[in-house]
Amino acid sequence: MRWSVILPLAAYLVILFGIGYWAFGRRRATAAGHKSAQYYVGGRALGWMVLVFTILASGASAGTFIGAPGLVYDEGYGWILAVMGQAPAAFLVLGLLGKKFAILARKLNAVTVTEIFRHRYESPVVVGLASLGIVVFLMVYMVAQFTGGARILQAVTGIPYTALVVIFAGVVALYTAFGGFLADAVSDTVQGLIMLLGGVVLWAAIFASIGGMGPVTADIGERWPELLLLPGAGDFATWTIFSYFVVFGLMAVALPHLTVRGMSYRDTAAMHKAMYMGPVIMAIFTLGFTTIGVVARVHFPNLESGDLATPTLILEVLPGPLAGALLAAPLAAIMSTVDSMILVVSSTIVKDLYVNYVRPTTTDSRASVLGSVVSGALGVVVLLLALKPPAYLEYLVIFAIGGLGSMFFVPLLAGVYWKRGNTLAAILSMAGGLVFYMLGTQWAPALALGMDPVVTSLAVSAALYVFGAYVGPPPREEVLIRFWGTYRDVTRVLEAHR
Amino acid sequence: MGNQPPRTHEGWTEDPRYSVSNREFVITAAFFVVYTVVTIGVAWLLGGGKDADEIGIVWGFPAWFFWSTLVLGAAFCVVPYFIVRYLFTDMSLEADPEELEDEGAAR
Repeated sequence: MRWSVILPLAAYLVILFGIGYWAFGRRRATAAGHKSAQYYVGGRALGWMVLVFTILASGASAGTFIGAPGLVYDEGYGWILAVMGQAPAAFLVLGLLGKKFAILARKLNAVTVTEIFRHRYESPVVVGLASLGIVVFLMVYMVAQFTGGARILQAVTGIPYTALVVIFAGVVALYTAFGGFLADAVSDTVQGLIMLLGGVVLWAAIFASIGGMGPVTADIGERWPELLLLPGAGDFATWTIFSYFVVFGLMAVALPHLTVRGMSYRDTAAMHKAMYMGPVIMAIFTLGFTTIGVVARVHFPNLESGDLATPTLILEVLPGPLAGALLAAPLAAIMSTVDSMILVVSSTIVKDLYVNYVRPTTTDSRASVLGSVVSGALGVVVLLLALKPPAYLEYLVIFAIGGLGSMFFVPLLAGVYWKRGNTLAAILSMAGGLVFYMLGTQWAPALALGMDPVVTSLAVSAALYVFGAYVGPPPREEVLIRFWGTYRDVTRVLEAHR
Repeated sequence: MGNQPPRTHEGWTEDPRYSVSNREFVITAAFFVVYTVVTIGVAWLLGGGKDADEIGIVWGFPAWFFWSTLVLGAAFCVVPYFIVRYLFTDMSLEADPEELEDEGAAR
């Protein structure tokens, strides 16, 4: 074990605990009636910096820091272009959901995407599909993040796998259970800053030791020229790259743990600044870490797996303590993604299933306490699953993120912006998008037309939505008032129910 | 905002802030389309289907990658600033914007 590497990681965990404790204090000080909104969306009060980092860090998972450099290591520059599709992610999430989404969430006092669906489509089938999709897919995705991250850290630091999973999953469970959204968002900011500084420091060190990209690219040109080409080793077609722009960029809008961030900001000033700072920061993350794949290929051509490119380079180029601090970057990426997912699953279970169907008389304060209990329990379940991942899990992970996106994208945006959208449209597009995605990924790749299956699934989902909207009955006028009316009209129809 | 009278229906009125949001949705979507088409288009025009000896090197990177991913990528990181600055509208996000304005006026 390398203690000089481990100590900075330990210090980092202590900081996360501190943030959780601080957010817990803020939560206790929140007035009754606002507690669950405080727990699940941070009281809708995020400023631009926390907003931008919480979107980016929740979105950028192990994929950006480990997976993408690995693909670049194996297949070359084409992947950097493909992954750059995620640069405008924060701009797209905030701009497409838009101010309307933020206002709607306030008018309807919603803290989950499913709640928005419930108000818009008024159907237990839609709520059931949405909840099930969120719970199943996000759970397996969280487990996959931990197992992937822990295996890699074990390989490079020698810390036993079990210890890594218990410590990191345990820490995430604790600060998420007690601190809620605010702890997530603030720790995302710390984690985002670590990733940002990490990228910059790592590059400075790499340049100091290799002297620019010229020699690296020249070396690659001699030994593996296909890595410099387009289509290249990845066998890219224009449409393949386009589909990755959709997957990494556009799809961020429809991932429930990112969508919910569209309800969490304080005002339009915070939103605007986050919209133009987001792409800059994401581009630095993306370029900074993916280009590492190219450098690693030249310096360590015999790695067992491309996924080891980032951690190996960090350990070889930087001195011990600095390497430890930088290894925190991919870890931070994993933890910041998982914490936001735990909260979304927790809010789905508590608000959309328990309060909505089982016990509607639950008070807001009690819902907030339940939220803590459920989040903590989810953290423990993820931990146990990560210690001994069941075989079916790897199968579900394949569908997790693309499946959720294919399910939510169309009914979410169409529901917010198109008056004609109705219950039938939502059911057809959700089920159709998911099924088509699973078929295209696993059983009938031809359905994807040579692209990532997300694109054709979205097209099918959209077609089914339009079909359902014109075949089924239009939404009730009350629904239109809820989603288009002024505050006065919305309150009137909401109060008629009480 | 507020140039057009809010759309009314029988018994209810549309929140005028939503028409602002509709416009911003279209602008955001248009940005994504332009970003995608231009970045991928330039990469393909410069590098698509070429052999290794035809690929130029700029600043230590393959030319197609340098111009599309680095230069255009950086340029498209700046564009959102101008979009937001000149095309997006500042407004209240509160459920009831009037309540807030009344409070402000009272102070």
